[in-house]
Amino acid sequence: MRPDPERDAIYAPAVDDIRHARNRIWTGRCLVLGALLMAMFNAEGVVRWAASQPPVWAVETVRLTLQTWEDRMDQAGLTAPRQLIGERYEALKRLQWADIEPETSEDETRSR
Amino acid sequence: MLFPTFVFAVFFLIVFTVAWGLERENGRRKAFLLAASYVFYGWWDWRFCALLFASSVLNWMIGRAIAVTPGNAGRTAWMVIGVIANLIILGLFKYYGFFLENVSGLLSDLGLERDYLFLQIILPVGISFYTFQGISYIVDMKRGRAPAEAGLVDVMLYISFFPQLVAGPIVRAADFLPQLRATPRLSRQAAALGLLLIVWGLFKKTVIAAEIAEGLVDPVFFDPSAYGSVDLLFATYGYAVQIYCDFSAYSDIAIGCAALLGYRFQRNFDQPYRACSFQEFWRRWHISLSTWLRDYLYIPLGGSKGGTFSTYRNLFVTMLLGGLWHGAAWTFIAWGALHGAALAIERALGLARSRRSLISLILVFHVVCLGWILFRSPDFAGAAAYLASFVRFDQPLEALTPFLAGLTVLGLALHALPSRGIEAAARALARLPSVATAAILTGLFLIVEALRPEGVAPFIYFQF
Amino acid sequence: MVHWLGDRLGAALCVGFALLLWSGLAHSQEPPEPTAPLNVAVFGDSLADGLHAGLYFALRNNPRIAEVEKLSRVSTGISNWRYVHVGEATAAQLAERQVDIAIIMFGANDIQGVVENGRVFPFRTEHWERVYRQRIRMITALLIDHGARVYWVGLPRMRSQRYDSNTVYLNAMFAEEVERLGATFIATRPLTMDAEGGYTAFGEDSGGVRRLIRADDGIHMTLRGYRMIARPVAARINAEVDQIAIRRRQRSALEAFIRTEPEFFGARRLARDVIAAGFDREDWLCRPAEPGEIEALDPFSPGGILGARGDPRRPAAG
Repeated sequence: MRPDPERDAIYAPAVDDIRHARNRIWTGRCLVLGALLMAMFNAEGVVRWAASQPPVWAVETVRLTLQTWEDRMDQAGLTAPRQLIGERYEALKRLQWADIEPETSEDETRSR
Repeated sequence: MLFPTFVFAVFFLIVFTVAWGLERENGRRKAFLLAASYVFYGWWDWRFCALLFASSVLNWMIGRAIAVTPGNAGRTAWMVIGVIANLIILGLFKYYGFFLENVSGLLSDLGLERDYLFLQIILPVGISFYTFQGISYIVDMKRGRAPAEAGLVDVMLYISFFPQLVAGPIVRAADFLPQLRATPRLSRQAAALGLLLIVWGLFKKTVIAAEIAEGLVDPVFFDPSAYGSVDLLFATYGYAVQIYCDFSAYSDIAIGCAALLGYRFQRNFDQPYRACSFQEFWRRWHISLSTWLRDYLYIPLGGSKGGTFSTYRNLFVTMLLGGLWHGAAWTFIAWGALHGAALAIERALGLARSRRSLISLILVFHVVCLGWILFRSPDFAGAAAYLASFVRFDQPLEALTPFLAGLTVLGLALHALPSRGIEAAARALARLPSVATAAILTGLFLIVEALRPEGVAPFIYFQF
Repeated sequence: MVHWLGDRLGAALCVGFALLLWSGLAHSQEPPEPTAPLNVAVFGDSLADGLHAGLYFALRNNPRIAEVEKLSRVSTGISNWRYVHVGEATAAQLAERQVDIAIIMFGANDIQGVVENGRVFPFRTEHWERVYRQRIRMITALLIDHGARVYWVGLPRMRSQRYDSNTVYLNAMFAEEVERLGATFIATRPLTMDAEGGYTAFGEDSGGVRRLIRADDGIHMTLRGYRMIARPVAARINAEVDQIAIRRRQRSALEAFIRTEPEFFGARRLARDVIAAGFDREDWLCRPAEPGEIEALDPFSPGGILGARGDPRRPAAG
């Protein structure tokens, strides 16, 4: 392997099995917690995925269940961050040169 | 299976869980990873798996033959047979259509047109990558760099390991096979780096590359004659950003997935547009390909040892074939020729070793961009139309919006980040408890998810 | 529901009479000066994306065409409306622009069931077909009512035998439903078959040289292939563009009349009926209208297609 001191240090394997096990548990927890948090805050993404699948009874059942899940998360206010970011970003995409040419403030264009 | 999809996320979580569950049984673990790789590949088309299997077994058999043959001449003969076999597979699947396209006019003129010649040969995803890995295995065996005792499962896993299977990085047998001897011990920093690279790759691919492609690059390259010079200029910069973000993202996600499973791949990109010379560009762009070409093509051709003329010839031939590797079209060959010529001129003038400045950076970047126009255009006529349209200075902006301009600038600005920033972030992240790390990564991931447009197109490098 | 069209088209004898009068009048006053160039838009899925590319280059030299816009979207279709509701998406696209010539190519993603009220109806079942036909009509009618001349482009020959037999079935439905509404169906299948009617990946270019026209998947095409299937569509448009332009002008004159003239003995309503019967539908049945029927059919009424919101013809589930 080409020498790359920076990454050599990062990839240095755990010195013993106990530390390896700790690292593995740490990584596993990161992934599981991440997946759970994503399921809560990004419920919309999963519903969209289910909607794009060819409908058969099983997929439709899963989709409806996920839809309920999304509604609950929505009621809990967890989907708000994603929506807020998404809306701001959409507004940014719609921006035209004419909107920013005269010295109009950013807020004005954003609020549209 | 595509990386930035829900299906892949579920697939990877399963693979991660089972692979570490089998950590006491390295043989079963490898067999499982191999099976998972075939599932990953078969997701496109299960028939492709047969070719992958045949190619892997063939390479393993040649490798065995090299290992058991005593004399150097015999080993060389096996190596040559192996390389030719790999090139035949690649040539048949990748270049047959191109060949036919170029000779069909001639055939019909000569009255040699035959129905059986007109075959539509399907290009299996990733074939360019895995045949190159097969060649790497055979040549490394001959050179004595790859472990001779590697079994069939090891070689098959090396060729078909799913993170790098379809779009690189091109892993070396000498680098990867030793990692399969025992179950790897996980490093927490490497795992943190893997997680970060995955999120970072998703950002580059689904936010920057996808958006620029759809809003700017695709429409402008579709009909350049409808746009003015500023649109064209930004679409060129945009494509430079898009192809970098697209391809480096794939490599990053691949490196990240492998790291989470305990394996190490080389870094494949190093802020390429920071290069102040072409030589440096190729040290920063698609490093696994450029070093592959250097070790298995340029040096066997004679490298820089045979005098000035042969050095330039070798350089040029290497880049020309490197261009052809990217796709079966004359534009790719021309792209390779452009880079070959640029490298040769730079070498002749001694510019690569002279002092670097902002001017050389800008010059190199713009010649690279010129290359990208060739690379992206469907044919020479398209590239010519693109360049000819640059003179329309008075045409108002049509494709470029403030948002797309900002995104293009952002893509270029990524090159001003500290070159080892992600490693530093990974070290910091590895010190935190898992809850905090998960929270940070989810926050980043959520931002990417909120920004990404729906339905992301496949990675550019799949077609190569 | 199925006969809404016949009912709607048979608005009134007097409407027909008025239309005859009007069209005679219009033809006699046929303007010598050229009309404004027309907007072409392509709707559909990924095959339509490709068709757009072919059509763009085929129509670029026609001065009567202003632009060829791509309004298609990959992975969409008429079956799965939970993912993208093409009816609503098309209506939203039409609200933002004037489309004079609409090219539609759907169906490649439609080999799947439809969902209504949480129930799944598998592909090619009786109810599936009813819903599917209804949706074809809905999209076509939406575009016709918008004032567009509609060309529905059929699916090409597919490599997989099973997939191909399904596209034959879909093509037949497209042709039947679309032609019933006065739109045109253009088949691409004959262009993409060999002499024996089988799949072929190669077609002859203008120089008689055989070239690859199909993509690896046996469904999509190469740019050359898309240009080939766009040729008959472009030829049709080129042949009819003058006629379409005149009809558009007549229609806009009527619409201007509705907007500006005061109500006089139901003249405005009559003009609307003329639009509805004469422009939106080219064939209509002559039978006396039921009371209230004209109101219900009025595209500008709250329930009408050009009205505020809500399309009475849309399937209840959406």
